[in-house]
Amino acid sequence: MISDLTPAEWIALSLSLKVALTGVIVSLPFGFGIAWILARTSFPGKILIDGLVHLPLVVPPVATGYILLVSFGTNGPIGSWLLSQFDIRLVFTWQGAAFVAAIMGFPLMVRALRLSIEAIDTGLIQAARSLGASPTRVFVTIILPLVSPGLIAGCLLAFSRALGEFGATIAFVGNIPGETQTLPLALYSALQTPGGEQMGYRLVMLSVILAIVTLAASELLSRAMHRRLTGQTS
Amino acid sequence: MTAYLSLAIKRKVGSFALTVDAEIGDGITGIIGPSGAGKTMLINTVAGLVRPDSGKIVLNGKALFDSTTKTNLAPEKRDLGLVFQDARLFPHMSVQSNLTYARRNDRPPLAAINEIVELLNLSHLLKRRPHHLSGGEKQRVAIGRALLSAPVALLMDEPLANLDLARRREVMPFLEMLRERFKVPILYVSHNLDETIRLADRVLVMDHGEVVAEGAVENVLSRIDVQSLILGGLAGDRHPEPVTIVSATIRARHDDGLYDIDTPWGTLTAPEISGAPGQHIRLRLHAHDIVLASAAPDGLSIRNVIAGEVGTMTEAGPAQIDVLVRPFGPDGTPTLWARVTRRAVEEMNLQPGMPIWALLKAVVLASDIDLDGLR
Repeated sequence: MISDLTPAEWIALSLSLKVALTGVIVSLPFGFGIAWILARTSFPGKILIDGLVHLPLVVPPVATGYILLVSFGTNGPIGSWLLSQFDIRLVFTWQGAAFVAAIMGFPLMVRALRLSIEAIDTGLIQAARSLGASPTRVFVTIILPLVSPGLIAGCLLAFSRALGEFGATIAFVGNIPGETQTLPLALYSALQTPGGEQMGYRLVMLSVILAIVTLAASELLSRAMHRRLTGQTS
Repeated sequence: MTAYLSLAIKRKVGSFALTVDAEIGDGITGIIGPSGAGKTMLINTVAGLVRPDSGKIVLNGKALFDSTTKTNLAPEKRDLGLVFQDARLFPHMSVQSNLTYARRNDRPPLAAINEIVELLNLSHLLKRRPHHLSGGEKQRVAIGRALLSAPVALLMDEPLANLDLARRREVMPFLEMLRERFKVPILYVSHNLDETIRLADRVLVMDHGEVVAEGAVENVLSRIDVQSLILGGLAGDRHPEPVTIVSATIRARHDDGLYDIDTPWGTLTAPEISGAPGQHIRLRLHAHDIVLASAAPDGLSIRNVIAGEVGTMTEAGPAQIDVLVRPFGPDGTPTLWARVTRRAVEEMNLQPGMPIWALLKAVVLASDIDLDGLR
């Protein structure tokens, strides 16, 4: 199947993977930080942050993409600053597509991480510190292993969301083959082209296979993680 | 008494105020009191898990907390070992990895890991995950893990409270072994009189965030006010039976199986006790095991008779009275409680100051005390 891919399909697939993976990696540290704050601290205005994080989940994706375009476009307030200060251009680039992927997957990642962080027994952290472990060592040896199921679930959810992302992407970075044309966008283009049904069919198959592989990986990983954490199979 | 740990702390949370000034020395110091007395908060404050509002905590000459110099050492820098009620083993690590988790920060080990594994009988558990351990095994691992951090002092917060009676009996000998084998001072929090009598050398009694009594176990835990504070809330028992605790030494074992025991009241005899001559032990006498006689008894099967005078008498319900007996002897001779019927008091016409003979039906050694909560 992979060897049968046409160059155009191959480009769309690898771009999709690159965009989704980059999006997940970029959003992970922020997602962890926000999830930690939401799970472990309380302050006035926390509900506001909670709401803000969930916005991409409830606002129509095209609207999100348009908001991003207005603020991160080269004429937008943030976009023009990024361009002049760091020479970073997000709009109509694959980096922009990865940024969209990060934003759209963010609520899913935060939700999974937050649940996992809330489930950590603070007593274990106290025990580790009483045994002489610095906060860094506690993070690496206790917190990370214990949140790893949530971490994996969050990353895979965000990854899947990124693979399927359409509306916000097309609104923010357009549909440029080889740059921003991910699988769903390529599928859309194929279906818009007369005689493109054949290619469309193949892209649908590819998307389904990718989704199944991701799901299976998620299931296997979470089982392995459960075994590692509890020493039990189930 | 060298003070290992000196405390002068205040902390207020809502309407609860913890105010403790105490000097804690070598050996095992029991911290006992009803639930809500602030025992755990005190331990957590010493451990650095909770920050006091003001005051000073000094361990072995090192200030752990001092509000005047704004010192507040992080928990990992306090050189203390903690054993919690709920063991708190790391679920994703084997027993072995749990045991070796601690960093000693250049302190010499208390003992080699092999010895600690041996002493706590953990060698067959090393590869297991905490999930597959019984409650008693978990606590033993937690004790070993704390010891392997080479703590300057051990803080134990109700390590037996979550265990059933059988598991408590299983873990107790290991706690007693700690006292013999390691000289590390221990703060032992409990709401259980029996545990404290068996383990502690000294005791702090807490109520409503304050220390209400402190001193040697025999003196403090024999006090009826302390006993009713600790037992009073249990099962609506408004008149808990007083218990007398006294330290003693096994003098000799006779061929017929009887032991001579030296007590502050003279030599008593007791059958079937566990211990060797020369060993220091602690006796526990239940008030209902003591019979009173107004004349020197003769021709009785009871071997142990203590002469003294009647002290205070306290009502213990409508039909019974607790009588304090002051045995003859030098100042500081421990008193003992006898529970008798009101009718007996009237017929014998007991009055404070009257000569009295206390007859002991049974003597229980602290090491044989069951951990059922002194009911």
